[in-house]
Amino acid sequence: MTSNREPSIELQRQIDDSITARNRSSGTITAPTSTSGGASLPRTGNNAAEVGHDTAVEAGVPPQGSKFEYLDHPADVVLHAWGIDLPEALANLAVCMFGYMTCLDSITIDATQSSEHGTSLTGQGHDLKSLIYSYLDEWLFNFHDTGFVPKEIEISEFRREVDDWRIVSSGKGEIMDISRHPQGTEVKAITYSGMRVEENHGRCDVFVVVDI
Amino acid sequence: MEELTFLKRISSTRCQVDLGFVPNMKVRAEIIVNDDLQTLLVDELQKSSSCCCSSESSAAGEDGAFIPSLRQVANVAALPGIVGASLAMPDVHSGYGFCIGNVAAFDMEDPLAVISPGGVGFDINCGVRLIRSNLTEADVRGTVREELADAMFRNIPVGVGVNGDIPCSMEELDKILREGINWAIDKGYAWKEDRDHCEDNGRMETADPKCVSNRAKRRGLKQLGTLGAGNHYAEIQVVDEIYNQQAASTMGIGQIGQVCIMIHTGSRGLGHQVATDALTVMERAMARDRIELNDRQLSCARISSHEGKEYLSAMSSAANFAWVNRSCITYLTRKSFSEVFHRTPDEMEMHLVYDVCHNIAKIETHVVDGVKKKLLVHRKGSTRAFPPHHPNIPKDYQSIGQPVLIGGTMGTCSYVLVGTERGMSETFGSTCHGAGRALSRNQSRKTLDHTQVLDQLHKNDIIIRVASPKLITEEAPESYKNVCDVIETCQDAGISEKVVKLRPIAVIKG
Repeated sequence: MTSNREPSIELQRQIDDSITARNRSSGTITAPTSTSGGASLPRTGNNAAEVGHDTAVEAGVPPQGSKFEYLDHPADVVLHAWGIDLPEALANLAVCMFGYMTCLDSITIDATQSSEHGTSLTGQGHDLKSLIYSYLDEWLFNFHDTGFVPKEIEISEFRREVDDWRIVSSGKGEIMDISRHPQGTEVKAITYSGMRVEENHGRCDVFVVVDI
Repeated sequence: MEELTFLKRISSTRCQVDLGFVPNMKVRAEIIVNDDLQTLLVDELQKSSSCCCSSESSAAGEDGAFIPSLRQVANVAALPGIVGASLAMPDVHSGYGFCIGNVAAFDMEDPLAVISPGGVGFDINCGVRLIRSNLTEADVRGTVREELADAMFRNIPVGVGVNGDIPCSMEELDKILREGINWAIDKGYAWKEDRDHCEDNGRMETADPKCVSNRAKRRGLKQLGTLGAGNHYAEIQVVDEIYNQQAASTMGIGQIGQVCIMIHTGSRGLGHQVATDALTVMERAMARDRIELNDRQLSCARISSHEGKEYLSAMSSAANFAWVNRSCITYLTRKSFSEVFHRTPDEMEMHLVYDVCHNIAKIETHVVDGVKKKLLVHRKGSTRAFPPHHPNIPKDYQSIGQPVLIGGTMGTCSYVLVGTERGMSETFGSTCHGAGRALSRNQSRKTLDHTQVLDQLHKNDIIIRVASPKLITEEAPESYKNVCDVIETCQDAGISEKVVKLRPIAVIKG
């Protein structure tokens, strides 16, 4: 037993402080209270869907009136969004992705956070599919970097020219806080698998499989 | 249906897909399955053919929500430089590009041979580790078990939108990517001897942090020491059955009822971003080089190309991150047990039994048609299973073969297996990795009720701490293939052998 068996006291203290702060903010009650041996739900504060509401206030269920849905896939999930044209369908598609990670009804619009973390994200590609991939990946990375979840997205620039495939978009929402926002399933990455765009006059549908 | 004529059953545990099933196949495809599992695959193929206009379009990956696994394993057989056969393990199911359960080896000496991020998966070095203890089921009865589950749920960050508690700077992260588990040992999160029980001793030498994008690093910084969501978990398990006493005791597993801990997680957002970045780069390179594939998701680059080398280095870096991540979670687990039992992890003999990767590409030496070859073996949802006396397995396991850890799904049993000579010669030393999905996530959510899933766990005397209770139906045992079937098929095929069965008593997940 010559090597370290645990981190330095200083590191341990830092980690403990971080654990305590994290659990305080998520509302976990740390003292064991249950005496039965059965399955119990966690005593975290992020189960608004469990305690507060009996309607479908949860991740992975589209809010009423939204223009997207979740379709079957053997291992992952297919995001399907639509709109009157491609920009609208794509705006709904990114919102659809966030709706799988948390409950969008629980997200409020914070103007400061929206302007700081949700303004002018640029996706680029060399054809339509790589453009859609990049556009979604920008929003996914932005979430993993800043925690920002948009509940509304607007596309301000959409170019599909031979040498210039570009989408600039901005979103309104807030930073995810698990004491108020139910945790859904993490989206790991965007895929090209089964990616499909159906553009018709007055209606456009987009399908993308995300890896979860 | 014409395409079924390409499908042949060659033994009770194997079926073969002949050249011609999809365009450009260079080698055959071979699937390790029993009758029941084969029926599932053929059903999947027929369903997809009837809903697509033509098999051509779905083989091209342009239409249809997914490509059935049989066609995917055949598409991989069409990649340049592939040797032997494109193999699928019994837990096979449709993925993107490669199917889950796919094993494919490419000849490093062949200048046209490729490396494919799709053959590794988004969760680079996703894997499983098993920690043993000298505790028994009697020591963790009643409130003790609840306290342990609470302590682990408190100490290990789980689920989407949660940051880790392990301090890490950008400079430290570069060290993690370069040094792998050695960083964790240096910091005191891992024990020195843990290293000997990881594949590649917890560090891939081909890593180069310079090949990892800044955005991948930024995702990694926040998620070090987090479990993630989906099918990832930490479980307290007890030994339920021992099939091979000698192999079990070599691993420090001596008796029924012994308490172990299993951890299933990977490289988190860092690995996901490395894969995403590589797909984007290879997409561009393939468009530039006009490389045509059966499926766009099979993005790949020549191993010898700039893109190929960069991906191998980035993937290795992400693999190193995954070992550190599992090490940090091991530290948090040992800490949790210490808090509850007021004993040191050493006193509880909380040693690492082994740590396996089931989403990775590795440079290995294999004999193909009597000739020794250096191969790049992609295992996506498959576990390396090297036989006894292989130089790449730890000294203390030389006589029994490499331990293979097969994680169950919430509430089902897990297994420890060992690799065999037959596996080495027939499947590039590979076996299954888990149960494999049977129901889609949406189907699970529609057909299963989360309160019933919780009731069932309660009946089976399993406690659970989970961040998103409503989503547990997606991971319910009913959503997966029967893991016993999968294990038995591998056993019958002779590619791995059962050693121990473990039963969960507490589950912690996202």
